[in-house]
Amino acid sequence: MRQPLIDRITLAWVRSYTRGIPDQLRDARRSELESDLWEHHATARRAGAGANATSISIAARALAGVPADLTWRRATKGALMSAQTTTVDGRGWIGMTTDILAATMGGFAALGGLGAMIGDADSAGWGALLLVTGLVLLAGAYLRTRRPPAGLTLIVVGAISWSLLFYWLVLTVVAGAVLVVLAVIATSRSRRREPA
Amino acid sequence: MVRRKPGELLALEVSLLEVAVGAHRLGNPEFHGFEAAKAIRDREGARTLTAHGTLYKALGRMEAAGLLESRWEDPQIAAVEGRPRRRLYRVTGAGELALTTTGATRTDDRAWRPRPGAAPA
Repeated sequence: MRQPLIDRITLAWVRSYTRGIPDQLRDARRSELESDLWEHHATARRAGAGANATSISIAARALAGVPADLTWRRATKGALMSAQTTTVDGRGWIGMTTDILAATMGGFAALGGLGAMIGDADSAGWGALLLVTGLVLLAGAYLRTRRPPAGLTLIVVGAISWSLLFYWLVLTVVAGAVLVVLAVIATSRSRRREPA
Repeated sequence: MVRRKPGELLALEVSLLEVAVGAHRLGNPEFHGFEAAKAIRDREGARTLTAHGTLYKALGRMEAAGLLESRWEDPQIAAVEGRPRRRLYRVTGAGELALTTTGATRTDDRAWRPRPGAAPA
């Protein structure tokens, strides 16, 4: 049986944030999430809950857990990195805030875009743009420390697109602007710390 | 970053220990992650389940601190039931002690229900 879309998105996110983690920890986290999703669906079926309600519940759990996922990854990787690597990669709270904000906005946009594309034919075009914006932001958050110029570019493009798509909401426009500023500061700091 | 005193438990950790101790008292001491999330929601009357990242980060942290221990179930059992393998947690003596020390133990076991098909230990 084909896996529900929300499960595939959630597991793709798990694969993403566990990349580069030692095999044992990585495989354990991935297996545990696969089991959780299966149990969630099984329990919902027994309770007579609809598939859409279950998908929304899973999406909410996945999204709300993004900050914890990122801090878990940071702590796990941090414990393994050498002192020099830690210094190069040490971006402090600005870097962490940038990653969390970009990943949260990206996840929200990707899931919201998918929902708009699937649920409302009139909003399919807007939904597709929102989905692409979300994916750009997620890619930016992922690449920011690995390939700073590419990551910064993606975050800036994603944040501008996000602000334009939600131009009528002051809060979202401000969030987009804050993300751009944070990303620029965090990236310039990590560059300064790189050894000659 | 959450800063706390040594030995201090977060609210979620207290809830997880309560679930674990409740399960132990009912003679079915092992539970998996989703089961714990559901038990916490039912017990506390919350509308939503604990987020994936928050839940598994807390379980890992508590296992590292010796409050819980875990094992992966026999893959044959999972295969027979046609589902992914479960990681099963149980409370340790240190976990029970930590819960008692917090003074936050709720003694009733309401909302904890053994999972379907689980045999008492």
